[in-house]
Amino acid sequence: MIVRTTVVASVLVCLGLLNTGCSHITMLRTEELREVQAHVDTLKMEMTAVQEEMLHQQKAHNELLRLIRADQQVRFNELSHKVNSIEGSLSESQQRLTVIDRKTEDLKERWEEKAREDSLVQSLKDAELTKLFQIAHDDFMARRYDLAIRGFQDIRNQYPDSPLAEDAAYWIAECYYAEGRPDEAKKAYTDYIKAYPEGKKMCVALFKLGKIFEKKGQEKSRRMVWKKLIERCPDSEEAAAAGEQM
Amino acid sequence: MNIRFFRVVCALFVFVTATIGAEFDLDLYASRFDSIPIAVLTFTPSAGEKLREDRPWRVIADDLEFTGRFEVLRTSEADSATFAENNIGIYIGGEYQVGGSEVEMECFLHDASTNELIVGKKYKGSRGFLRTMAHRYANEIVEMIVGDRGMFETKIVFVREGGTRKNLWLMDYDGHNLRRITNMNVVNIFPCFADSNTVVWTSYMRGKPDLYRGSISTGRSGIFIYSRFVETSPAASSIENKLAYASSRKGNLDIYTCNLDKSETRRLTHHRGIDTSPAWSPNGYHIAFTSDRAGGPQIYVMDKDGANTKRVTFEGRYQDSPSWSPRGDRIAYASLQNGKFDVWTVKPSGQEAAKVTSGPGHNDYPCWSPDASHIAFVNTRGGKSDICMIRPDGSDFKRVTSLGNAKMPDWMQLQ
Repeated sequence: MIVRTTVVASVLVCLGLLNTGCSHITMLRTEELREVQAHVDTLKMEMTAVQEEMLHQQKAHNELLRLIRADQQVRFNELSHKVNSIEGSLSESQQRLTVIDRKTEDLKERWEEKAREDSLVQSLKDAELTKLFQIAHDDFMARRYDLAIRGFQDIRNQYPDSPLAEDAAYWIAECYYAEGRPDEAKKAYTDYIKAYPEGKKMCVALFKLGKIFEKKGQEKSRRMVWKKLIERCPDSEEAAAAGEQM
Repeated sequence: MNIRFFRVVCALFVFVTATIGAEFDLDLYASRFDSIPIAVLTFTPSAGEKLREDRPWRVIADDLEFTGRFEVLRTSEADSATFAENNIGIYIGGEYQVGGSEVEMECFLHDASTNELIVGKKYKGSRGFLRTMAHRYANEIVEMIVGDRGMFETKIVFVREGGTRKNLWLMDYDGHNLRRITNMNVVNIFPCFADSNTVVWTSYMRGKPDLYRGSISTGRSGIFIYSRFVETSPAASSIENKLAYASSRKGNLDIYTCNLDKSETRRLTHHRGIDTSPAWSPNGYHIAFTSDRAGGPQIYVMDKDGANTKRVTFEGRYQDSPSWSPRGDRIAYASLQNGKFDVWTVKPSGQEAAKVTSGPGHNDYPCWSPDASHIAFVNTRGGKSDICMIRPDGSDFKRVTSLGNAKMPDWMQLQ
């Protein structure tokens, strides 16, 4: 019984306590809620302000972007214009280059044609010269000495700087020598020796000159010429022959 | 001197008459063709027996063909359709009469379109000279139409080998009238014509080589140039009346010249090498010769006084036997290449060497025909040595002898 009473008493006590505490707690809670509400309101206001600020900044940013885009567009247009302009210039330059190329090609062709013509002219001249020499030499071989002399003289007169001019000078002397005209031959060999002191027929010319002096009985002149021959061309067969005949 | 040099009777016939007929411009006719069309008809006997050999119309046709300047139509009768078909503007006909050992021959040149006589010739003589008469008429035809002297009466002298003996023989240019001109029991080599009647050659009559000279018409011969040294390889220049030859009188073989009367002997080469086989240029101013001064035998050219020597052959290690073209433009020579001799030609300047022969056997000892249309040489095909001919471009090879032992030909040049 006592226990039951105790329990009941405890419960009652607890209920009383519970009733008093709850009232107090409720009061506290209301206070807190007010403070929280005020804080929330403050926060709301701050948020609104922030949102407004953000909106403002967003607008400013958008404006800036728009300006930048506009500027870029302008610059792009300018660039595009410049590119077009450069393209135009390039195309113009290309055109000019094409024209220059064509002109260069024309000039090159003309130069080449000219070179070919010059070469052809030179070749023709060379061929003509060779032919003239051959004809004169054929005349010599056929004992037509007058014709041969005329031919060789023509070569000397018309092509004085040609290598064949030297040969022609030598062959004129040979014509006179072969024809048995010692005076003319002597003069022609002497002319050759004077005109071409390093000539390829020098040794032969000296030998033949000595032969002419021999035929004319001019022993002193022969010895002098052949001495010169032996000095200048010691290893030549002409020098050997001259040495033996001296 | 005990030399037997046979006399060869050269001309026992006479030209009797010439008949001039209608005017015909032979020059104009000839100028229209590279190869002049001409017909040669079979000659007819006017009386007496019919010819079985040495038929003159064949000789004339062969001669004209040989020049390369004529396109010869051989026919038995004058047929205007055949002439027209072959562009024949002129033709040769003839008659002959054989009586015993005598023969009379008349040759006529006709205008083919009108059959009119242009010119007629009559020959009379010994029957043995029928071929010579035909050659002479062919010579006259060539001279009339082409303007060049004919060469159909020229001869070729050559060496024929028999055991240890080698003797000189003579034949017409076409290989006929073959006859021996020396009969010695020794070696006779390197014959050359000094003129149309005189032959100079190397003979071992005295046991060593000396030069001998013989007259074809008189049969007289004798020693010509001799010494105790070697005297060999004669070559005569009819222009200069000089003889070039090789002599060892100064120690080794060198080239010498002298006049045909043996005066004015001159030594032309002075090299330590062997210089031999001289050959005159047609103008008598240059001499080609063989020399081994560069090691092996090569062809060189020098002036007639020994100056201006220059080498002209360079292909091959052995070149010999130079022979100068009568036109003066090329030198023929024998070249040993790949173990075989062949005939080559080269310009006297040493340029444009060209091979002429290429057939089997060795081809050696070249010499030119007087008109430069052919080169005669020795071919040794099948071990038999015979005289052959070929054009300088290597065409038209023909064998002239079939003796089997013929060597060293020399062709008489026109004087």
